Amino acid sequence: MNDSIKQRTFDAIVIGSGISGGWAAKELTEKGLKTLVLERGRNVRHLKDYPTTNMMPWEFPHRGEVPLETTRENPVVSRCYAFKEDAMHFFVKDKEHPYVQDQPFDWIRGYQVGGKSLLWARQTQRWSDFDFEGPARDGFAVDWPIRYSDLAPWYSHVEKFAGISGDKDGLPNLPDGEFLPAVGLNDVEKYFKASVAKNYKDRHVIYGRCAHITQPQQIHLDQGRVQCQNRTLCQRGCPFGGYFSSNSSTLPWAEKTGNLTLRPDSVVQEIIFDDKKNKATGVRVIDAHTKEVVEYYAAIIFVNAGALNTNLLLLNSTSQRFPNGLGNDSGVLGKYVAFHNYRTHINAVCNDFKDVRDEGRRPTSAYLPRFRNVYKQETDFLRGYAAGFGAYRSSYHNTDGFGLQLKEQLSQKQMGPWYVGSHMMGETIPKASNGVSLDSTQKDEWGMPLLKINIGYDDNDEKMIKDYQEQMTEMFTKAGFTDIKVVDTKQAPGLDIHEMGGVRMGRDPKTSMLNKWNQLHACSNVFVTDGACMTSTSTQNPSLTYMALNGKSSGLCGGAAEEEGDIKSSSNVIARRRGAQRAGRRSNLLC
Amino acid sequence: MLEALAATIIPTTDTPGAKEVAAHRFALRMVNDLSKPEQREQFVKGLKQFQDKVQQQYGKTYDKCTAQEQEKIVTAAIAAKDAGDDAAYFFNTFKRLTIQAFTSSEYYLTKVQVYKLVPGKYISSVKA
Repeated sequence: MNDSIKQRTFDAIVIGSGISGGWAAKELTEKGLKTLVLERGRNVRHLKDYPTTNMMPWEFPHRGEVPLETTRENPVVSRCYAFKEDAMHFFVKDKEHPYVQDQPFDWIRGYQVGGKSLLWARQTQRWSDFDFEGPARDGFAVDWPIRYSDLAPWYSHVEKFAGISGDKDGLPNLPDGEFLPAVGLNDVEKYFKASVAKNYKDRHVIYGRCAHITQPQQIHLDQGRVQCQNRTLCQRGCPFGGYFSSNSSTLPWAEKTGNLTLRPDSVVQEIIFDDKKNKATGVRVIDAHTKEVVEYYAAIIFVNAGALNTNLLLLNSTSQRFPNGLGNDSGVLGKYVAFHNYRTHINAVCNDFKDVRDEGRRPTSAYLPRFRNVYKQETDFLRGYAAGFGAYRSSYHNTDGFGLQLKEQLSQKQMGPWYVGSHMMGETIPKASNGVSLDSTQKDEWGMPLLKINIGYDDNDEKMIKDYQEQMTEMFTKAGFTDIKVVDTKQAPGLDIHEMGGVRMGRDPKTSMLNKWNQLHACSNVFVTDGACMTSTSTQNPSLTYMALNGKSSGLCGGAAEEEGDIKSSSNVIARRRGAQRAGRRSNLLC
Repeated sequence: MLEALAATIIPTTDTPGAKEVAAHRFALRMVNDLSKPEQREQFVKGLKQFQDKVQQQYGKTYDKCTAQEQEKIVTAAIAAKDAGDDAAYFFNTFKRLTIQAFTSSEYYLTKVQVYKLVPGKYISSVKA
């Protein structure tokens, strides 16, 4: 029994292996901590478990489309743009993992090693102080306990390792980072950039920074990753490691340290809180297949289950000390969940540039950082939106007629006009009424209560949609684009796949869950470093910020921990257990 | 019969056509697996109408018709493509799927318009 407990005891446990859990695993194992990574889904090994990665278009029985039976059974995930025949196997099917929608919410999930890092859209824009200072300036949520200067070195740290392609744009509202060369904008995108620059002093169209290796550095080669080949088949898993995923990057890196134990098929039911020791001691896991229940122990626990599942896990981790969920003295756990408003987009035609096209494929497009209410409040809604922008030269076959004539027509592509399009990425305001809770009766196959999601749009979102539509129409009109069509998809929140919050960071334990190091105020050996920690959403795609937060929190293992008494005592436990022979490395084991 | 119809739409010459890429099988798979039940029903009804009409006019099935007769039938079907009835739905759907089968076939994507699984470079501007 004792032996078994010893085998099940680690220095650190990381719950979840997606983009943030992968980073936690890398950072902790590099610091010498024996780290157990628990993943509720199956294992997906880099290169070995990408079954569709080298399939040709004709090898897909439905040429990429999803059979009707699948879409009928899984209406939510079927609405996701990437849920296609080549990557369906990396998405959670609605049927297998039900949840309760108090309001419509499209919860898109990837339960496997690597999580959604295999599937993400790979856009990586930094936050600035215009974002971190938002709640304090505009009087919503609570003040972020960190500022850009706290995170800037960690942005650099993760960018260098992940490999970020970008241009140095010199914009105060979208700080530059450690960039590999840009793949570039096409002629129409460059034209729009110039048109916007000419007509608006404060609006900038830039190349969208993305997690693709465009010029491998030694650190990427050391990971076994090489240059992005512009396949744009990322969602299948990349055999080149051209884009960043846990599978291609952080997890194999962690494994190489010899300090990683990865346990897939492990559903964490709860974090065990010891009322006597007044700290978390481990986790209770149910095997996804055998349903066997096992406990694992560690001095430090990182929660990276994915924003809403992290909420679920904490809500389900009750004890005498925390009857309403782990660390939930404030009562804010599960509340103030927000997302990005992706409900509207705009399309048009560009009638110029007929003599040019682009060639090949490209993993990103252009990006327009937030320009509304940046320096001061200037509209009748709070905050603002960023916008994606892209242009492509259309081509088509003339399919009239039949026979020899048709066959001849099909051998040649005709060039059509350039089409341009943009989509909105709006900041939403976290509110107590937007959140998640546990269903009081229904449980899933693993004994976990079903998550009840109650999240909706509000007036601020509606006003922002209207403003985006007006402003983009104006910018498109000034650029001379025609056939402008504005679309409100009315899609439910969630389909943006940028759900955030519920376990927010803040300065005051009475109104927030986490301190500036992402530790639970009331249980400091538990760190929450995924999307659940977000105090506000700003407009940038959030993954890069999660990566940086993980670097920063794991960085407590360095000198910063001196002021963090509780963490120091956890580290002392580790150091004691390790014995004298490793005492020399103790300074590295503080976490 | 559908194989013959696909072959009229995209004939075999000194290069492969719809027949060689088994376009009719692809078309049926797509109708079976991707169409809504009411669309599938309309497709089947339209197919039957198409067949009945051929039988009435020529006293034989489509695949037994001469190439010239088949061309006449398809010319008439194309002329009636906007009729909005089941027969038009069937023919338009089948033609579209035949074209999709052909242009996404291994033959087409390796010999006609080559698909690059690994393009390497993206070039932002070339002469159109």
